[in-house]
Amino acid sequence: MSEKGSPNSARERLKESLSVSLDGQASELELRRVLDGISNDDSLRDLAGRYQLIGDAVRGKTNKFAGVDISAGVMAAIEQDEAPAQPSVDSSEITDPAADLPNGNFAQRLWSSLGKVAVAASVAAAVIIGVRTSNLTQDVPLLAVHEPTVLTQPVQLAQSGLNDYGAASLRAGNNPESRGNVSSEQLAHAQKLANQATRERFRAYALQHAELSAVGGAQSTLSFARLTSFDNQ
Amino acid sequence: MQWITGKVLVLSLLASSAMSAANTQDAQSLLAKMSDSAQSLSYQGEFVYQQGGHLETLSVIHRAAEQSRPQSERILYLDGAPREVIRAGNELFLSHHNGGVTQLQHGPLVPMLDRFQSGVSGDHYDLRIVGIDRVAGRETYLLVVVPKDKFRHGYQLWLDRQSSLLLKSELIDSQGMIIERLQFTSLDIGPLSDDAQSHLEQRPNEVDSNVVVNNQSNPAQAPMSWEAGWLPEGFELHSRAVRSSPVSEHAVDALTFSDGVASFTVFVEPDETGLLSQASEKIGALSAVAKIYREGDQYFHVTVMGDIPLGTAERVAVSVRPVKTAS
Repeated sequence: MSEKGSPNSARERLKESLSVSLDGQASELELRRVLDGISNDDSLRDLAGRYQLIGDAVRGKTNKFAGVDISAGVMAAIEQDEAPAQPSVDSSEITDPAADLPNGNFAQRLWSSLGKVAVAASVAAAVIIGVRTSNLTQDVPLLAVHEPTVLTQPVQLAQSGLNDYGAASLRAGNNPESRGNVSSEQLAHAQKLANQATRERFRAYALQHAELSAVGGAQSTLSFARLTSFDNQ
Repeated sequence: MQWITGKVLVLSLLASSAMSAANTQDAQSLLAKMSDSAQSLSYQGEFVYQQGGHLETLSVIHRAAEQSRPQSERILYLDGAPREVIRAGNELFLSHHNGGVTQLQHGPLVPMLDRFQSGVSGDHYDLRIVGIDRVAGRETYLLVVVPKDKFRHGYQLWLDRQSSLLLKSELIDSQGMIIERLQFTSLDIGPLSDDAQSHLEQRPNEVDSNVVVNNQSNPAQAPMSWEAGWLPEGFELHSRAVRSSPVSEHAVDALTFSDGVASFTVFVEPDETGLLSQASEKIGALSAVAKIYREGDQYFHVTVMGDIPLGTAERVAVSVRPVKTAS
């Protein structure tokens, strides 16, 4: 990348690029140049902060953090939309049991009622199986008799951080008798917990995967950087 | 920009038939060198990690193993709430702003295969050095790694011409879209400053969760050992570990597979909650799939996680089963 002309004009162009990139209109090349430039130049860094503020003001946004955060502008400039992830294989296995589930609307209500919570999950299928509750005698073979009930619906998860699996002691099954005992609220709660548990596992496993795959690998830095994806959700 | 990427992939596919074997060998030896350098060199630098619409800046300090001191590494997130990963020998700490400190401890980790070094087979990827570029002020070779089937992602790797260190990496899906990008903005190779050294010696004062790992998995002590009934061609067992579960009292079987470039881990743990969830999710570059395996009255959580396409992870997850010992 050979810069023509004087250092000053190069800097002027960098400034222009900076302005453009904060408007989200920079090409990748410009963007890279800006990122490199900013990292080497204190006054440009300040400028980036000011441009960011100006840009926010123009767009009618206020910026509580008057620091340098060019990520918003960068965001628009770099291809960001990955293809919608479709589980291509064996998804039928998950969804089929849902076909004979009578309360499909319930899950839609669940979807909207949870609309406010923070974490968006992709399509998730929760299986809720029967659990022995304390007032049942030991010889009721709930697990053995009832097939799992499967709900298939996009689900959003609450970010309570609670780990109260104990509250999950409710039972649901495919036979009408036992389903009669389970309210939709209970089912919703169970599903929420089940998904929360899954998320916790994903998060914890991601760290372990990073560590395991880092051993003897050249991409260890990348493996750990990937963990940041969880913070963005 | 997307079409440029697509074009690069298409071009490299077209050119692959005509490509010389020498180029492949060069590319392979370059990858082997990269793997070696990543461990044998000391360096520090800053890089950006971009995934989807998110961009993070991180700094890394890496110290090669010396006589008395193990290889250690510290990764610090420079944006938002401070998060830090410190890895030294057999210890790993992850300090998180709201998740507390997690510590992983394990015995000596001896990988069954060295990634990259074990040879990225030309059977599953087309490897080509396509040019020379400049990253973080340094000259780099641009290496294109194009998958030959739909079970893995593609990569573009920029390797430092001098040291072969990975300076920039792009992960590309089957549509030619860039899923994630790592790019150094500055890098110093060589002896670390005292300041940097001291960062590597720091340890969190308190540890909230401690995971002890038994890597010398003894099949006798594990109630069941597991295997993947289906693996994409070229993936081989990289390591096997039994560790205490991060989310329950049980032990977790963890099998890591690698094809030399991509890797994924299969986790199996018995269920104790009675709440079973099957889910597929793209978390950045990671595909995560949770399935239930049922053996009699006992349910198991099977989780597959790695930088592979979601479809591959799904297919592996449904194939996971206990190893049947001949009785």
